[in-house]
Amino acid sequence: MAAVAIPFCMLMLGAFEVSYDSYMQSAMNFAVSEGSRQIWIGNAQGPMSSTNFVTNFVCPSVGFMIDCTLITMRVSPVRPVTSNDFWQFMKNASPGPLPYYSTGTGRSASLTTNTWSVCTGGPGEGVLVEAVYAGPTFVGGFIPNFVVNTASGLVHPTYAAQGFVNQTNFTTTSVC
Amino acid sequence: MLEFAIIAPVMVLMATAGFDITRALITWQEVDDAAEWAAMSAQSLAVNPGTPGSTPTTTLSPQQVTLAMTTIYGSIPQIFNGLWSGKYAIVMSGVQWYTIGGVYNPYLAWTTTLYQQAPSETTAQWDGTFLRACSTATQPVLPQVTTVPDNVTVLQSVPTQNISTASTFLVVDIHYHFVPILPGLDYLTGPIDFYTSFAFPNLIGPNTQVLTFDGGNLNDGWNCMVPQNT
Repeated sequence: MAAVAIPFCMLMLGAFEVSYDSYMQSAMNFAVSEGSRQIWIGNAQGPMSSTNFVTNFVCPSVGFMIDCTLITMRVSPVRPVTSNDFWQFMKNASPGPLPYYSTGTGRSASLTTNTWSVCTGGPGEGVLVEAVYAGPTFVGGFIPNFVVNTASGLVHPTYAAQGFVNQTNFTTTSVC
Repeated sequence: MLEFAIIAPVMVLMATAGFDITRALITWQEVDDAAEWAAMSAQSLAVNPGTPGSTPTTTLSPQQVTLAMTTIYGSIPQIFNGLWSGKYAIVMSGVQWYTIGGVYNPYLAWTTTLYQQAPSETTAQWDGTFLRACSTATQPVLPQVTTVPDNVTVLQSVPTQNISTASTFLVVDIHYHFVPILPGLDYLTGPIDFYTSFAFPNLIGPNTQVLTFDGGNLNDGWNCMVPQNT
């Protein structure tokens, strides 16, 4: 009995974690979609910090689903608009093709989202909205590259993104 | 111990199947969102208000169509980075309306794919068979449906049923073939293909304003026959 208790519990926890991660992926998809909508209709405009964007424009809609303090978001205009598109922008992103949000491998990997910020772009510009949720992990630490290391311990990052083009007839007051 | 040895593979199988089914639902959600945002993006780009007092125009350039269709890589980054290995395709089309006997009928004015606009900006997973078919002289009117039927590679109907006010529509169709991790799941369920279409009306101008695509060469396949009002 004792011999099977540990693998049995790990299987149960693993099944729970898979369900939890799937729910988080769906919730984060909704979060980036909601953030995109706020930009598209003109509510969220100009440069701001990730925290401001999440708190003021995303959390009011998704806060009941997820812990907003664990979300980091980046909003990047696809530039230059005359000779660029999402393929080129994501391929030529630095330090590597998107999506990237961590550095290192295995359990020593760490998040790079602390430098993320928000720039909602100008009229007619392509905009890429990205979000990472640094959620808890239960048995994910046993799976290579499933977790990253943070100051608060191992977390499992859930990534979501949304691409769209700003409305062309906006007269934004603070184009970044 | 023996009981666990029997039940463990079943548990793993059930967990994997559950993961696959959930992942399929999430994929469906992402494909649906991608079509919606691509259509909205293209309609945004088409808007050219012009100078005050002038007639606004709604014409898309090849670069704008490409930008709007490549939003799919932002909306479904798993395709871009190869994490999802299923085949995909995105098609963008313009639907115009003409009166026949006082009744508005939809026609496909133009249709193009991301591959046709920017072949180097698609991956090896591109599904070249997923297209829209232009109308023909003998059957110029496109059938109107609530949703585009599944399991079709060439689309010959438009999701514009029960529209009372005719307005130019931009239609984005996306196909994604979901590949489950669990071998045999697609054998049990059949091919797991997601077909989604999103139709978005003109953002400006009168309802009958034509949303055009300035695709350059008229003979390269994007331009469909546009019949005259009767």
